[in-house]
Amino acid sequence: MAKILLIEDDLPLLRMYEVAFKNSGHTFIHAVDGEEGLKVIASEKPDLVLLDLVLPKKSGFEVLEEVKKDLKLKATPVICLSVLHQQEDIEKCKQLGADDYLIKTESTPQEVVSKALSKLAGLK
Amino acid sequence: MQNKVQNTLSKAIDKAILQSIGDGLSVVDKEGNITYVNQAFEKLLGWKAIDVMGKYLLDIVHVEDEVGNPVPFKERILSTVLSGKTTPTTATPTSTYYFIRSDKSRFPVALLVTPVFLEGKLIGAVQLFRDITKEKQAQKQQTIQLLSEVELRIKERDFVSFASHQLMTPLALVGGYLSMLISGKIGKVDDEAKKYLDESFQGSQRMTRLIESLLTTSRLEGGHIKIEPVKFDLGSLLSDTVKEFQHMAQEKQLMLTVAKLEPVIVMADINYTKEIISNVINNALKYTEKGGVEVKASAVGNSAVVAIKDSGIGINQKDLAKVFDKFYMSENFISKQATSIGLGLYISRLLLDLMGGTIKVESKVGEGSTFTISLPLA
Repeated sequence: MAKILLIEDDLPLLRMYEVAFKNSGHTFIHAVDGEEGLKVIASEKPDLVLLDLVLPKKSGFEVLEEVKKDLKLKATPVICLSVLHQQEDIEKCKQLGADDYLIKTESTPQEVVSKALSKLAGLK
Repeated sequence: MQNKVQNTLSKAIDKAILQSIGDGLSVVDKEGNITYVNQAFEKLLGWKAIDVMGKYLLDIVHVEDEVGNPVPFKERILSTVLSGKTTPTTATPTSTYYFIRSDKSRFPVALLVTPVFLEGKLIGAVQLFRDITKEKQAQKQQTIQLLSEVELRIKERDFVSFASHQLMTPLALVGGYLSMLISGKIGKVDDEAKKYLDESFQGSQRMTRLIESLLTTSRLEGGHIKIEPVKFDLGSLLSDTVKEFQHMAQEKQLMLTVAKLEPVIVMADINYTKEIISNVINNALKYTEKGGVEVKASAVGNSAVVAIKDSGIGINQKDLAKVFDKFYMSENFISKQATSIGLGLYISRLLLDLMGGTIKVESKVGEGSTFTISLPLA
């Protein structure tokens, strides 16, 4: 059983993804801003991070940058999950080391779950 | 006797003319010593003619640059003119000079220094200056205005980005739950309810497209879209894009074909090119009820040309020029369903402008339309 962390500040969306992951057979944890997200990553060592980009305190871009710079954390796969759909946002995340980029309005919650699960399967 | 009177009279007239010139005027001999100043000189600089006559002009009128550094004597225009190094014409400084008044206050000037020659020999110079405080202020005002316009544009962009983010978030929630309900994974849904949920889901998808178009339009118009040209094969991009639309074509029982393509290497932004091609193919399928859509590409001169030909409803002659305008919508279409806000072709045109390409259309009502897109070859 893997541990999946979602960093998301919109609570209804957070609950929706929680519902989607309910029967995935994995532990689902969350954080609601960038700073808390980084703390949880360090303390909980999740197997995969789903990261919103527009976040209070510290943006998802900053969180991504810090994770991918940290030698101990950089192997953790990070999937950006945002409504930002501009090419430059996607490119920016890829450059910062994101493992994937999903647009919330393009990918259904189930697609998000299956992407996350196949990423986890690929790690084994 | 009469000559002498005339001479005196003529001198008096000359003097009156010089005195009445609105600009500050000073005349120096070839050493740079003042031989004459007019009333405007006295008024603008606060010096009395009697106090400055015979004195070294550079000593009397100190000059500073924009930020207040004194301009050294040898860099002053007057020095250059008197040195005889310049061609015997009028010289003006390259940046704004500030003259220092007798009370040490300063003002910006427009300055002209002209050498005076007598029988081919340099005998001195004339310096003419005008107070340009008002012009400078107007200039500054203009700069401030320009800056605030730039600020406003940035704010506008931020506003549109922010607004679209805020609109998209609840939309992701609506679309997300609808998709889960439709899949039956989070509760039982009967067939009839599923039909309505499907419609609602399509609606939320449509709304997403509309917000995206509005955001892209706003960014394009504000000049905030960055084009990243790369070399790529247009032929394979067309094949891939056509594949994605086969499902839509099949649903409407239309033929969607792509002519056998030779590689056509272009220099353009691949993502935006795909967006433009998708948009035109999507329109072609939308406005066609029988027959199909044919896509082909070829190299013509320095350009790659993509032709997307449909056997659809066609466009009125009077509307042809308007299809690439903002918010243009076909009348036939509006009556059918409001799934568009008329930004797709407008966005395509703006994007192609940025990439050095063009988009054109030929059409005949009842027979169909052909959209021709050109892009620079690599």
